[in-house]
Amino acid sequence: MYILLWPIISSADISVEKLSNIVTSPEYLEGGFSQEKYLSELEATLSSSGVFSYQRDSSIRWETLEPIKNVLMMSPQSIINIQGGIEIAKMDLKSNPAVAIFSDIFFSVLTAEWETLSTYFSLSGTLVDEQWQVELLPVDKSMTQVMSRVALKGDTLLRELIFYEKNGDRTTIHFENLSQ
Amino acid sequence: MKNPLTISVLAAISWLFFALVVTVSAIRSGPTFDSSIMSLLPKSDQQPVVQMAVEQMSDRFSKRLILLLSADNEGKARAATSQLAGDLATLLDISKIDWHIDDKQIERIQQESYPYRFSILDKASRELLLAGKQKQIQDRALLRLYNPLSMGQTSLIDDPFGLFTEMSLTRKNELNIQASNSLLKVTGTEVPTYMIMLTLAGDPFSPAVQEKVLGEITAHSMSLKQAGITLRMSGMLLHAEAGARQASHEISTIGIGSLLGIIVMILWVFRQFRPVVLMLFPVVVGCLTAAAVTMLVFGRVHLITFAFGAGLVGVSIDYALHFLCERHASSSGSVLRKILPGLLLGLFSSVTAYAAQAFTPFPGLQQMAVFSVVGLVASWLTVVLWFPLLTNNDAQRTLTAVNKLDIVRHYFPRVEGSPILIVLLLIMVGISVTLIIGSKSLDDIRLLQTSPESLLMQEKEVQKILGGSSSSQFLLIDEDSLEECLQKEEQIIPLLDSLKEQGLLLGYQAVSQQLPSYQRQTENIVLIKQLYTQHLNSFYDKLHIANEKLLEASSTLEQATMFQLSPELWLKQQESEMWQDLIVTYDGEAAATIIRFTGIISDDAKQKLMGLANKDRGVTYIDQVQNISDLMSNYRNVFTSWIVMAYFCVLLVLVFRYKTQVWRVILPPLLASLFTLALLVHLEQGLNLFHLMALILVLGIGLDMGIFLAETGESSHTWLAVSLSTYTSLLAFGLLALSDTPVLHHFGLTVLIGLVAVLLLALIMRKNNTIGVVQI
Repeated sequence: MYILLWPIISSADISVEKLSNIVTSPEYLEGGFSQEKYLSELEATLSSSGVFSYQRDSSIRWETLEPIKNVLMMSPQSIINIQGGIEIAKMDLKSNPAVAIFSDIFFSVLTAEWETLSTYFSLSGTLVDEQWQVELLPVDKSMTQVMSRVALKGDTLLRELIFYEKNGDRTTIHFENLSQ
Repeated sequence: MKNPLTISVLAAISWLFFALVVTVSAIRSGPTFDSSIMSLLPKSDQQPVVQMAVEQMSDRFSKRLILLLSADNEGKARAATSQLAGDLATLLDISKIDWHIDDKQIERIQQESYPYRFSILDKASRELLLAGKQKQIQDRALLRLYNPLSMGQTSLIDDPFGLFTEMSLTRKNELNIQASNSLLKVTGTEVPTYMIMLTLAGDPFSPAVQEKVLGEITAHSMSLKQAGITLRMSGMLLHAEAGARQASHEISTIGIGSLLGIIVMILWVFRQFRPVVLMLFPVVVGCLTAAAVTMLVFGRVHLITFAFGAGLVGVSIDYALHFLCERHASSSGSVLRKILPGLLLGLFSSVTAYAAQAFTPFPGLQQMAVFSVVGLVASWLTVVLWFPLLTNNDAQRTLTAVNKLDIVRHYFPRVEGSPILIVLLLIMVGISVTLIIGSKSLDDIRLLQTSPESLLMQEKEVQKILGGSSSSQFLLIDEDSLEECLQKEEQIIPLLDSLKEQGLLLGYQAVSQQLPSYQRQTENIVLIKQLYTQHLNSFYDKLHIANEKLLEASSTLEQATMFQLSPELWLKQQESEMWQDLIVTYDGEAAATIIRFTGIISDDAKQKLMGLANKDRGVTYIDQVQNISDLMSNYRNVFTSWIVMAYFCVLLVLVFRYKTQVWRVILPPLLASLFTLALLVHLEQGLNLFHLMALILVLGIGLDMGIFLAETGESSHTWLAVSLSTYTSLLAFGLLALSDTPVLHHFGLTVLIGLVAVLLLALIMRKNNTIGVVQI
């Protein structure tokens, strides 16, 4: 409901206002995901799937069920890796500015913090019959080292997200069974 | 008769000409004023390598100016940062300005360290490998692959376990800074904050540098404020400028105040304007010559020297006053003959006392000694050579002030024939001695910090935001080679980590974190080879990667393990730039490195670090603040002995001249010093070097007073002269007690109390009690 607040500039005459009318921003959202990571070097695709949930502004729980079991707890302060109920790694974002940026972006994409996204990316896209596609290009050139482009698709909620990396790798995530 | 007059005119003119030449040549050499408290202090008597380390650290800090710009939105903060940095970059007084990093630089930094991904490992990976938890490394790599967030994944063939990624993620900046869209953004702040770091080309104490750099910043500050941007700064330049501004402000307020007070009094006493000009003449010649000579000898004059020296007015004015007062009672030809013994003895006692300071190892005291001795001699010469000529035609007349003073004096009690007064004095001596014996000393250099509170707060804030490190407390590692230094650091670092875990230490920075020893690099490679042998196969299996890739990965490893990072290569890397000054020295024979600490070190941590240093010969804990405070206390003692010795010499001469009457000369300054010290102990909770330095002045003026009085048999005109000179000294020095600069305040208060005491004591110990002008 909430995912579309950014200024979509190019075609179809869309504006932040129009998008704001389409979407709302839920406090809580959960659902399933399937992820495909394409590794260009090996021409291989790693598929995984799982479930996720988030509390707006506070945390994202990203649980991979297949092929490995792992829980990622993300907050604006840290990223914690949990395996078998045990915290195996914790990364304090304050002391890892580079990771903090990625976390910030992921958070913003999922929880629709368009203000934040617009500090990292220039946004463009289309909006037809409440179906939208948006492309994010990093404004910060230092970021293109790792993330060359982000593509998002959705309606009232985000349905698909693709991170493109400079080396040709890409990560595609489909969201399904979303409930608020 | 004509011949001696010509000689004296010639002498007077040549003296003035000489003073003029010295002054002009000093001005031509470009006068520089210094306000750093540190430059008043002695060079450390430590080993050269320690000195080098200290200098390197302080030089780096003193030339750095950090600016933080914060705004409530990114765009504003960024625009303001670019604008300000762009304008500052044009200044010639700035040798380097860091505010911008382009993606090419970032890429280069990455490329430079990539070849060493197997020889330089992050702490966590190394610990896992050492603990035999290779499986966890494999799991970590798998997790990263399935992680939705890509965190700079490297090639699965070149670096399947993502060691380089781990290393770059944990690698830290010296400060809490990250590159954000080519600008340097401060991490962990609530509002967007960007940094500009300036390295000054010149001395932060140079007024020109202060004016240019801070002027440019001030020019922007208004528009920054209007745009809602907060600017915070940190750097020696600010303190230097504040110190200079405060000093010049105080000199202009306190200085002008005291000058006015003096002029009004002189006008009242002499009822003429001419004596004012006459009196100022030797003072001006004295101060100028003294400043010029000091400048020529030391290259720069410290503001405190100048303040102390300018206060020399109080002493040098004695000569002028003495001459002028006596001139009203004696004829032009006889006056000098009459007072010359007194003037000579006065000069001798003062010069002896001040010259004693030159033998102390304090550059500041040496400066003051030179300034004082030159200033005194110059004023003295001006009085002796010029005054007879200038007052040649003045008429003899009695000053009404003399009579008024006589009447006041008459009602003043005398110690002779007054047992109560003697008992009272003895009790006071007893109390004073007890107080002084039980007193503490205040040698902590931080108490003498002259910067305004707001500036210190700002400085602390900036350092906290940036996680900056202290320039005055660090560990020095001193070994035969850089490799040994690095190995020693690697031995110490686990201890530092444990201090960090206990919360005793905020953080530290060591070269070995960036450039591990060869020993460590070789160890790391062995660990990685084991990891590949044991886990690469199963890792690739899990990802369904073809077997041929395994060989490819192994041969990449073989090639990459040939790379070890040598100090020479490291120094050429872009990233090493901000770490290079952690290496103090390194050549074929010896090497020394520094481990810096973040923030202020707690006393507990300090004890631990000192314990660490005591156990190991190659490790020294340096605490420059403590060292300087120790030196201060050390030299306070040395200084005291010097004063005592100097005055003992003076005493011998005085005993020889005044026989049994010597107590009238000696006791007033001596007892006054005693009472002053006791009162200071009570008022200021302790004594420091600057109190003692001021005490010399009290002793000097007090002795002059006694000598002049004794020499003229306590004539009424001499009483007028000494009263006036006490008054002028009180105004010139005593008003410094109002100063906000701690050193000047200590100084002023001491003189204020001391001089009042000297005058009162001289009065009660006087010999004659007659009214009327006593002519001898």
